[in-house]
Amino acid sequence: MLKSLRGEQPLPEIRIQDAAGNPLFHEGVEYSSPARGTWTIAHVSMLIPLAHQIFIGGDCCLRGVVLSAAEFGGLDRFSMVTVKEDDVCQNKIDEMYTEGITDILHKLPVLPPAVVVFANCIHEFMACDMDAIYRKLHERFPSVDFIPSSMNPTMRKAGMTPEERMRMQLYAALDMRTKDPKSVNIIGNVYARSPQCELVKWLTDGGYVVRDICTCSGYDEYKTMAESSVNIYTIPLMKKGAEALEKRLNQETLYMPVSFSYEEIESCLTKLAERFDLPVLRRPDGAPDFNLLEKEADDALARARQTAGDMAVTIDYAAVSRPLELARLLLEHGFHVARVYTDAIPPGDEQAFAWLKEHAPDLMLHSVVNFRCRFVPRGGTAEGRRVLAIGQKAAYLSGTNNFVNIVENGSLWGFNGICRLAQMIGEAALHESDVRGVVQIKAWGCRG
Amino acid sequence: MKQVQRVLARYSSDLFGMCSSLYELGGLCVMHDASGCNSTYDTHDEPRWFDIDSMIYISALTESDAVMGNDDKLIDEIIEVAEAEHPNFIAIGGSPVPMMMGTDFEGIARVIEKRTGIPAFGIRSSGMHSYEAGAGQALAHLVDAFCLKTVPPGQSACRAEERKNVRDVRVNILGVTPLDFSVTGNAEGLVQFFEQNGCIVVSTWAMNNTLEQISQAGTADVNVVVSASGLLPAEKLRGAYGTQFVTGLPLGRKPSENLLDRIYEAAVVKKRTEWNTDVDAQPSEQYRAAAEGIPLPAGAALPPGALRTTRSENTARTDMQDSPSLYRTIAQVLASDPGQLVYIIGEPVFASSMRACLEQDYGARSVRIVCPLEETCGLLRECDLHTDEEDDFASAAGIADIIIADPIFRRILPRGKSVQFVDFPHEAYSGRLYRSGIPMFIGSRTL
Repeated sequence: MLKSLRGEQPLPEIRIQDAAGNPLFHEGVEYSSPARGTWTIAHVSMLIPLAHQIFIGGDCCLRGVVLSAAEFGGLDRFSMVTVKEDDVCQNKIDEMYTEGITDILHKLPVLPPAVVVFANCIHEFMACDMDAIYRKLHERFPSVDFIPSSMNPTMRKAGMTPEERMRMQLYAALDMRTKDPKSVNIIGNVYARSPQCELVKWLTDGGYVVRDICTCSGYDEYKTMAESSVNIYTIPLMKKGAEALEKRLNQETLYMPVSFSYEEIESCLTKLAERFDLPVLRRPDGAPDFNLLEKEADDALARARQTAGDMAVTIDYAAVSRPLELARLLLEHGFHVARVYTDAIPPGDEQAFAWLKEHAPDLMLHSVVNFRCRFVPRGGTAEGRRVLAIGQKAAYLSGTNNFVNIVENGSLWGFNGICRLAQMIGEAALHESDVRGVVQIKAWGCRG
Repeated sequence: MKQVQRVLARYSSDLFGMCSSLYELGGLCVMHDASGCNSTYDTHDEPRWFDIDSMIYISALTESDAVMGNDDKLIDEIIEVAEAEHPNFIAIGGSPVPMMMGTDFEGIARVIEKRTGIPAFGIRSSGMHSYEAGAGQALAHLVDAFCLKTVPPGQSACRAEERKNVRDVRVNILGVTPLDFSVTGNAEGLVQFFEQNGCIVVSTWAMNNTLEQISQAGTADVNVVVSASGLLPAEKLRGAYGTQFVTGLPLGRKPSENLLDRIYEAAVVKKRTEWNTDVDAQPSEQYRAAAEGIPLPAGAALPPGALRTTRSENTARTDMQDSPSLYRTIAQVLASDPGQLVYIIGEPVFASSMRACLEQDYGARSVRIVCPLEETCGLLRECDLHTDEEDDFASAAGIADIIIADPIFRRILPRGKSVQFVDFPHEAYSGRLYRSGIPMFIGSRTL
């Protein structure tokens, strides 16, 4: 049996004071933790109502996606074309692409309104003529929206990343329509922003229709997203996709990030109120008055802090898009934040990184993929304190059962999001969860 | 159209077979593939991932690595891990992009072995072959790297005259991975079965065993190939030590007895091999399909049952619990009509052993196999299909009365036709999806 190396190796972590460069750690062979709640390529495009997915690639590539689809009950919307070595050697890739998709569509009981096709690394390196392939497919199936996508993680450091492309292509089937000035899209998320968050509530109270792919019940409703005059994106991954939509569909782009900085949230809300002419509470000097919202957030955090006591908080990059900003918020509200699990400074977290270097120099930044992660002690304590984790990877790597089960920001946004997160922190401090059972489920919340 | 899966899944691949087979042996296994591609194996193919630490990593191949080759980078990064974690060995396998790049894994392994002094081997995998190809290669490498160094060929098996009684027959069980046996007790059941029936289990390749136990494999009298993943190491051990192998699973009463008979016969043949070179002319393949009860050529071995009578009881023993009653429904159906056409879709050793069980224990007269793996172990008959094509599965389903297969294959059942479908989840196909439904299938009371 394997000799345990747990506790015998240096930990893959650094004090934030010593952190320099991005990525934060030396890159090499990687480990993969069993915490699987983030959404994968097989899950995200299922958000397009009634769309059928077709993946094309080798066995090792297809197996992961088909079983992911099977797990969330999505096999009825899922098909594959298997590429074998001979196909590569004999350069039959283009033909397989076209004929394979054609064969699948002919055999489906009902022709879907959209087909998302995932080419993979093989197609990149074989320089397939995708334009010609899709021209032919459009000719054969004129009623179908073909959405080219890709499963090519080899290209993750070359221009647009697969994750960015995947988010962008969620909206590729939208085509130019007359704009409705009272319709707004929130784009790029796998969970809809909460109706109670200021972003959605202010818009709906102001008479706007807020559209989100996560809440579209049918393909027609999805297509009406093209009528919105504004796209609001809340995560950096959607930036390129939003820019593409602005160019292609003439939809204005607004960036309203999921932030844990009061200042930035207030800046976003001010911008929101101005752009959409929304009524807001104002101070005597005319500036928007956020005191009430701030107080609600402060109170919620204080209650959570009281419940958590001296527990050590750990946060991972997959839980929220700005884990360092969240660390700062919690530190400023009296929590003992011990560790942030991330291999890089996430986009948008640069200011928080600088602040933490100065004000919390002993905060540890811990890798998630470094090979040494396999053998880190997972005893559920840090610096002699019980750990409360925010995020699945933090829970697994910390070895705690007290954790906030959240991936990809959940539905959080704004002050309301902070209040809800504080409530979840309090609950996690009081109650243990079945970490083993929960974190191994892929794409938390995804349903076929 | 060929190679299209409209509704079905795919079997695990060679690259994951490599990792699965070596998981518990303290080696460093590196998949040469892009970051994140290891999650398929970690999530769906590896039930031990959460609970048992193993040095299975991915190289995080990038576009520039693919274009430039960057073998030196790969070598340096593997050595960095090896120096930190001191693995027992290092195994490296590839995925589709390295296959297109023409990465020389055997050459890379030689360089690593030379620089670290740690046994290293490259696996010819591309992620485009079925899992037994990678698992078999990986296990076969253990023979050269460890077995031959621990037990030189001249000192291999116990000499027959030293064997005090038949219980001294020593066996290796080859091809035991969670991909075929999951973690639901069947791997343990195999060992228990052989031990309860008069064998000494030298090693199990490769679950619940140490590398030290596996290194002693050369002392065995007979190798038992219990899945297609065990065939390559069996052939390798035969080449190294002359050890005969028997292919089959103890599945059902009569096939279990037949398997034991063949094991004892093979042990005797081995003894003869030491004294009579004529026996070398009889290929070990004669012992393949042993579980099917295929008769041996006259004079090749003792008649079935001859040695069994020397054991404490004359039927194969197992203390394993009965399988779920669901499987008894097959028996009931066959009892009323033995001519029902049964199709078994799956791994060839399991499928042929299951066929033997249905034929010998329940009198089934028409049982066919669809083998979707590349390796058939020579177990298919003319009526069987060797295919991984969805259309072929559907054709078989169209004429079958009973189908025994992984539950995902339910998706190809023809509408309007009555077929008795027996769920037999297979981790190498549906991963963790139906693990809780994987029955104890080892032993004399499979059905």
